[in-house]
Amino acid sequence: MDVVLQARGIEKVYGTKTNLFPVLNEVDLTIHKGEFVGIMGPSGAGKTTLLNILATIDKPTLGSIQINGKDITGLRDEPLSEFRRTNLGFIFQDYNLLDSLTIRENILLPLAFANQAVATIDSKVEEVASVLGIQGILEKYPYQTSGGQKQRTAAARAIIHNPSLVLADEPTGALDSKSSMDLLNAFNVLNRDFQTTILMVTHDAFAASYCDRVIFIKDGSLFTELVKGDKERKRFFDQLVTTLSSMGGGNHEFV
Amino acid sequence: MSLYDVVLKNLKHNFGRYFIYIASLTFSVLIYFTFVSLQYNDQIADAFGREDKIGPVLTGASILLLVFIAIFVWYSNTFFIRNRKQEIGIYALVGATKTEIGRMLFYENMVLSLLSLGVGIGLGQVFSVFFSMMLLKIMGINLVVHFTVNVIPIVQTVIVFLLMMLLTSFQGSRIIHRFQLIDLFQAKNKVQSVVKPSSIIALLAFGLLGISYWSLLHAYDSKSWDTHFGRNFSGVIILLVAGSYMLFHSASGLFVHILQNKKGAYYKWKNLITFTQLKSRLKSNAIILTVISVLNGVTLVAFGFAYTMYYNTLQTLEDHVPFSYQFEVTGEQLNEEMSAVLTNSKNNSILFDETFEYLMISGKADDLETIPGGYYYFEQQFAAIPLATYNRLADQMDRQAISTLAEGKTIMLGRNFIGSQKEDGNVGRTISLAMNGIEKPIHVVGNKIESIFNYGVQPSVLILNDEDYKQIQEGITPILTRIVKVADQENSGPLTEQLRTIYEGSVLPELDRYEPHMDFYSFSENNEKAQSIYGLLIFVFGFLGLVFLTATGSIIYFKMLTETTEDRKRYQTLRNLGLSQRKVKKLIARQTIIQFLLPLIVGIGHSSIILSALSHVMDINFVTPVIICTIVYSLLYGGYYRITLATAIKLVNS
Repeated sequence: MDVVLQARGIEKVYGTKTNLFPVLNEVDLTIHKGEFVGIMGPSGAGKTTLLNILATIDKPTLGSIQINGKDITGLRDEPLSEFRRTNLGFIFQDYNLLDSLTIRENILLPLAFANQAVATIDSKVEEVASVLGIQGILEKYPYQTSGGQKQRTAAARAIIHNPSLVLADEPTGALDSKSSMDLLNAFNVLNRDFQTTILMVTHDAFAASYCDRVIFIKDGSLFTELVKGDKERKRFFDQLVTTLSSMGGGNHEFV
Repeated sequence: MSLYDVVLKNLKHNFGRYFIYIASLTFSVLIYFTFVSLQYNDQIADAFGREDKIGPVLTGASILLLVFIAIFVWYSNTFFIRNRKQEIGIYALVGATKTEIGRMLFYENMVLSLLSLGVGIGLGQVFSVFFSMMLLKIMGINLVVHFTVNVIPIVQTVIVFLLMMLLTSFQGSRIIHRFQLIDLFQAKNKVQSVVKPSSIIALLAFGLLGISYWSLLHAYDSKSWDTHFGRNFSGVIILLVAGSYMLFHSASGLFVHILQNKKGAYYKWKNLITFTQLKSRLKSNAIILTVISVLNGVTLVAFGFAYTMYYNTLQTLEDHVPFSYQFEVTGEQLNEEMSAVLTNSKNNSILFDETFEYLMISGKADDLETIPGGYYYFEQQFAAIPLATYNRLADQMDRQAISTLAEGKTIMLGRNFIGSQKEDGNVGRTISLAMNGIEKPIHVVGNKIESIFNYGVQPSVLILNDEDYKQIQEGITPILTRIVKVADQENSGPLTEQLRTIYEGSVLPELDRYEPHMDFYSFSENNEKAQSIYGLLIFVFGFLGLVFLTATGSIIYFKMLTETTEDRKRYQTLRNLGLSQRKVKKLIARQTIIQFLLPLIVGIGHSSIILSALSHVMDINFVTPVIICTIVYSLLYGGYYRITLATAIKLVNS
């Protein structure tokens, strides 16, 4: 299998000289094409920092990151943005949709950035919208739609340009359980039918149970890793919960 | 910790954020104080002497200024408070009572106000010296301005601003009482619903603007404008304002709407983001953009008009005051004394020196289409000169001579100071001259739009065939007048003074009645007077223009900053989606320039049409001065754009 992402020795230290505060400590991570990987851990473990660094939004203090074989740690803003635009897709907890754009316009934004032809844009929008079940609301504005619809819009926007890697930061964090299930099922469909590679940060064991593989982080370091394999989702979920409990401090975070 | 401590801590800690507010308050105080200082400046009042025309102009302007400043202070205060709603909400959340918060805001605003009042008056003292010098310079008066401290303007400024600041302080403290806690927290997150642009309103906008433009451009030969200028003008202004509002409200939305159907252009990411953002703010944009475009228009019209008057009066003064000197020849002795002074003048040698005679003769002008200026002032009399005289004068003044003029015909001569004239006006009409009890009909065959007098009020002149002139001459005492042209007449002040002393010493004591032709007229005095009047005008309008510009700029500045703060997250999203910092900057620049450019273009459009209508009616050439004004204004305005853009970019990246 092709390696999509390879991170080696990622360290991140916040603060000034006198008051250093390490957040990530020598994290190594490899993700292959078509994988659906979850990152779990208690609050403050460094999950979001790791995701932001992998997303090229934040820079590591030490370490190297290769995405599709390209080292992105030394890139300057312009080529980095260009790289982000073509290779990555994002889904955030608070959706990050643009209020003034319709759902359709929000979805097609990455293609507009890439100066695609109108016909390509339109057919692509229809395609991803039907996969995510949001064809009916394409002409609405974000404020006219529900949280679940917004998040599926964000997911559509994240995959419309066929990125090598989709990064999701607590995508179910603001959703009710029905919407969460819809979204996670959509992720599974994308992952299975379109071979979309997804890396999802979550503190919700239920969400994580949809992944192929879950990586646990504690105090900035890798703690352990669970692979779903051929297990039932229910059993995988139980395993995840057990692991979380064993890490301590995480008990209160799932229901 | 008492309430005062909180207020002070708040102030110290957030000084940066308070800075814009303090700056706009200080600016308002500074402007007002400077202006009032000019009004009460003894040196300036002395420089004008008995002609007390500066007083009313400055008083009028200061009232206008006050109204404007009040709006501006109110706007700054609203902006300032709106940006702090969240902070106020937190105070309430941690348990401060509404009364306490209200009192805190009140004290805080008073502290800021007093601070700006002090700084504004201090700076104003310095600025008023600078502006006094500028005013005198523009008016052509040479005088060193001393630094003086006058109590009256200080007291007046303090009273006016204390009142204004008390009001804004109350307004601030009332906000907390009016709002629910939840509103205070949601102040920044209100999503404007997207209005569907109406093509009917958009068409109406173009219709209204079209009608007002058409009406203005045809005002020149419209009967209705001639009789109801005031009514029509107010009507047109209302149409323009309403049209601009609809233009911003619907036409711009419609434009985006149409663009949305041209997907090739619409799906360009820059267009997609810029235009949808524009469309989403149509409601709030419409009002503010209208206000700004109207302010731009008013400033441009006022300043353009004042500058045109200044520019043209000084350029065209010779058309109205064609000679360096004109005075009546009343006796040999005086005439020779005047000649002696004139010949002895070293700096102003004589270019030509002529004496000519003319008659004042009663005539009926009933048949005329337009009654010439001066006809009623001179008790329904015309000034008549023979063709030979005119041709002699024309030769000296490099004007077109008249080759023939048949008996019973006349060419009328005269030039309005303001108001257009037509070459073929009154042609074919008849004037009946009263001649020894009988009436002599004279047919108008042409017009000369020029002047052969220096008089302040000039009679309408009839150029007659030499034979006709002889006929009507009987029984009327002709007026003998002398005209002189000297070199370098702009700088002939000392010579003028000498001549005037002699003339007034000899002629005026003998006068038992006054008629315009009996006086002494000079180009240099007219020039000085014109310069001082129009200089004052341009100074006042320039000053107001500058204030309007600053305030307009600041309003857009505030608006842009508020919007950019709201949009920070959106720009962050765009960065995450893969827009580089440079592209985000470009996007902000685009967003900002639209807000600046739209009202500027509409303002320039309105002002050009109004000024061109005025130019037509007044028969004054506006093109050069108005272009200069518009360019200067646009450059200053552009400066504001750059400042706003820099601040917005800093805000997004911070």
